Amino acid sequence: MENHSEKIQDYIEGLLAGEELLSFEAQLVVDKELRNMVALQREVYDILNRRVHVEDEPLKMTLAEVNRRYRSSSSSPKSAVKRWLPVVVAACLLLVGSLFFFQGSNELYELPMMRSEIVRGKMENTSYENAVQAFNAGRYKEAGDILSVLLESDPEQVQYQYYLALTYIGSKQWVKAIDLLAPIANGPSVFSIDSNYYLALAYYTKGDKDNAKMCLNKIPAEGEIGDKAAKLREKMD
Amino acid sequence: MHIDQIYIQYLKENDSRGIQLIYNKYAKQIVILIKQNNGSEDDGYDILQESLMDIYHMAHRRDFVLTTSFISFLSLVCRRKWLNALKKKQREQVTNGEDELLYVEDESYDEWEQMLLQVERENHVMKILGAMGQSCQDIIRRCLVEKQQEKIAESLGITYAYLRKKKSECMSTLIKRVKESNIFKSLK
Repeated sequence: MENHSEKIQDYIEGLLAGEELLSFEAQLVVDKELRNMVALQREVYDILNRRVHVEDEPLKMTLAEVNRRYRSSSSSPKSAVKRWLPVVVAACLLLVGSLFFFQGSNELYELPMMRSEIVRGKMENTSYENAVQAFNAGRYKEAGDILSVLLESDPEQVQYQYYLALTYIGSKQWVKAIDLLAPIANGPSVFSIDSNYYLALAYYTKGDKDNAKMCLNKIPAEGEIGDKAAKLREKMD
Repeated sequence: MHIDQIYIQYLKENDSRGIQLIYNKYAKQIVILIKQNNGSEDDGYDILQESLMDIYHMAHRRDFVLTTSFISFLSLVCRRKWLNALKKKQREQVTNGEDELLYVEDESYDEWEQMLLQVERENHVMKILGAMGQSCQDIIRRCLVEKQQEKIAESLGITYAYLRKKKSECMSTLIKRVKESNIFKSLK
């Protein structure tokens, strides 16, 4: 179904051509479920296209600020305490719960799956795909050797550098991991947030809590990495 | 075009003084409306904030024109939003009946209804996108805004193939979650 979804995406974005396009359109005529999927994906694309071009964060901030000002000018201190009490109670419960559940967990050291570059069955970089297979099977030394060669041939490729660093995390070579992750964590790439987490983990394991905390502070609270960062922070405290 | 279009302009231009004026004039009425229908004061202010955001998004449609007073329109949006919140919480005991809660004396009601439905769909999709990992969000947004995917890949330090694969996976996840949420069928 995932491949199906990729094909639909390519169709909507006008990336299908020739035989592939003709065959897809022929299938559309006879397959009602496929038509429904195309319609749904097209609608989601339209929505995203509309919304991503409208900058709404500044208005959200203004509304929150005006709302806060308006309410504070029209409410008593007693009602403010009443309003925050459930939040404080919930925070306390969360803290107690997390201390109880997350002690000594190994999930902090779990590595993500290395992402393949194969799109709809087309493989263009065999070495990379070999590294993917080795990495995802936990053969970090093998994956690291391949990635080192790839990185040497294309030193600007942050993707190779990031996964090579993770092979060092996987094989517990903390200093090497830190050397590779530090520049990614401070850079603009898509791996920046995740790199901060694994860098923090490497620093922490080496006993450098100050640097570990600095890295964790750069990670947004939301999402899977945000959750892992919160757990690591709790473990450090 | 109604004279109250100015309030729509305040929202579109993110004019904090204008928005303060909206609060000074209408916030209490909206909070009272929500409180009369099993809501709290907090609910009232939350609904007001969210409704003003919805109006902002509707106002970006080319065909949007305010044909009634701003308070009538704002009340309609807030009522509808509150009714949905009540349904979600499965709190059925609304003081006024559903029809009464949504009743507005205006012939544009049906058109607004369609627009509000569309904004709700959009909000759901954006909420699902917002719950995805940061890198997925960044890639989807950048690919939609910047178009030249080779340049995006270069600026992110990844190969074009990797970007396409990642974007494709992110979009598949998004579509899957949208489908599972069933929102396009449940919003009526």
